[in-house]
Amino acid sequence: MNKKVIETIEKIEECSIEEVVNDFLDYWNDDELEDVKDNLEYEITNYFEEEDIKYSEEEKESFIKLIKEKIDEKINSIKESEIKQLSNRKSIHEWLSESLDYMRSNIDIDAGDVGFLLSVDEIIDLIIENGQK
Amino acid sequence: MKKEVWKSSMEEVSIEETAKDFCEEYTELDDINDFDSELNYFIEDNIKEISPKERAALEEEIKKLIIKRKEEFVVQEKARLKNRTSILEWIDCNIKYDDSLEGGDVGYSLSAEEILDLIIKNGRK
Repeated sequence: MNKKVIETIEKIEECSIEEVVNDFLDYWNDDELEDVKDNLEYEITNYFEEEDIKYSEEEKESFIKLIKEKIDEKINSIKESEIKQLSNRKSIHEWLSESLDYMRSNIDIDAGDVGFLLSVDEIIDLIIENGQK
Repeated sequence: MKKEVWKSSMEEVSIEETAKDFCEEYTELDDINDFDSELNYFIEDNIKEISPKERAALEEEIKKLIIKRKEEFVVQEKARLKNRTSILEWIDCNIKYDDSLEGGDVGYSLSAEEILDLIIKNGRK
């Protein structure tokens, strides 16, 4: 638990639920948000218990509701930024080039595997041509 | 052209046969302009006697085989992106490969289907 969260918990009576929610969310990395959301009740109960936070059922419900909203907002903003990265051929080309470079250096590409001989443009054209079949 | 089969004996080999041997040994070779030094090693290791004329002919034959092999590979690669199912499979196995993505990278939060649809929608713009 980071220092900020602990400090906030210590001062919980003086903090708004929204402030505690933001601190709770700061604790998690972006790649953990889906899992946190799936186990929200459990994570929050643990969080309150471990930190000995006194709360009413009403406060817990508000906490859960706000956290769900915030997580959805965060996940949507991550998705939006990913979608932006594939908003035209140039950005798709750039993304696919990077992915293929990664594949070539980290995953074994053998003769006949996609990316061994086809150019990025050929791959994009094939995906457009055959992706709906 | 004389090929060293055993230290003690040699046999005459055809250009075609030797070119085939070379291509079988260097299966990863995909760049036609980059096999000169590989061919020198191969000749050093396997050929006892070769004239400049024979070497040139061997080079020609290897180039032909490489071009043919490249054409076969291209057909294989294209066949792997022949429909939606095979494209999704390729995106899942390669682009969305576990270790390849970090938070914020395209593909990290998008599904293979979403990526594919974005490419179809925006790939012509």
